[in-house]
Amino acid sequence: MSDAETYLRELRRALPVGYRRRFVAEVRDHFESAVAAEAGHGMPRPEAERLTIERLGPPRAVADQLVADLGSGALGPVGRLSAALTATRLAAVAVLVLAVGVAVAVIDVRSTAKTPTVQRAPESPAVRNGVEIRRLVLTLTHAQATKQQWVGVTPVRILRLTQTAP
Amino acid sequence: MEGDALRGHLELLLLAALASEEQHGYALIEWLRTQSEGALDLGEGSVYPALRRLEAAGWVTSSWRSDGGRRKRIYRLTKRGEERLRREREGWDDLVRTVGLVLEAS
Repeated sequence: MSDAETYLRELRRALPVGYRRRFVAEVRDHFESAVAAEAGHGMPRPEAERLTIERLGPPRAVADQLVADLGSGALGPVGRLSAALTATRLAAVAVLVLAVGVAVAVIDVRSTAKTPTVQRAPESPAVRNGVEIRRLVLTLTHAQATKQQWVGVTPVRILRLTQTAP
Repeated sequence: MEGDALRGHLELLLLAALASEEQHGYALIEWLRTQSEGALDLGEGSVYPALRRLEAAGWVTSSWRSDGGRRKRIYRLTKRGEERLRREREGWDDLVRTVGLVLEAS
């Protein structure tokens, strides 16, 4: 895949739904025009593509600029929802990575003493704004006293570790 | 002149570029570069969002046109855009005159 195609793919992903087709088509034409112009000066296509990318700037920045320039009022309902989902998706990924990291660390520490038993409670899915939310309870049983520790909350799962320590 | 210094004036520059003739994005960028004798170093990625903003404001309109087997989005100034350009130009003239007065007095 050429640098230009990679750039256009990333740009498409970063743009709000409803603005992708036309905007990417315009930037694609920009690439073709710029490469043709530079080729007229003897520049090879790969180098011309890299130069064009440098002049355009990062695809995420271009997409953010579009959203900022249009403003929430001008985006329309589909665009506003898409822009919100794009931001939410980024936040969700960050929270998910953090939650998984903490969960792995906690489980690792707990498992050094005794291997716990793991029970999975029945999943009770709920739907919020079209996103299925599942509650998953992991119970780690050791022996006597009980400790509870929340290790993370994500848009798709709520994890709770219940440990019975010796 | 680099992007940050131009950002506040991008609207005026784009309207002025379209006042001369209807153009597609890349041609518009090249026109600005040529007219400024290469002094304008636009962040090219900011031009397309700005054009969309001008269109949303009703100052420009656009449509697809085939050119040599490629589809290009052609932008043109509307009547409201012409009026906006006139007011922006007046604002720019006032700014240049005011700053000039201060600089001449220093």
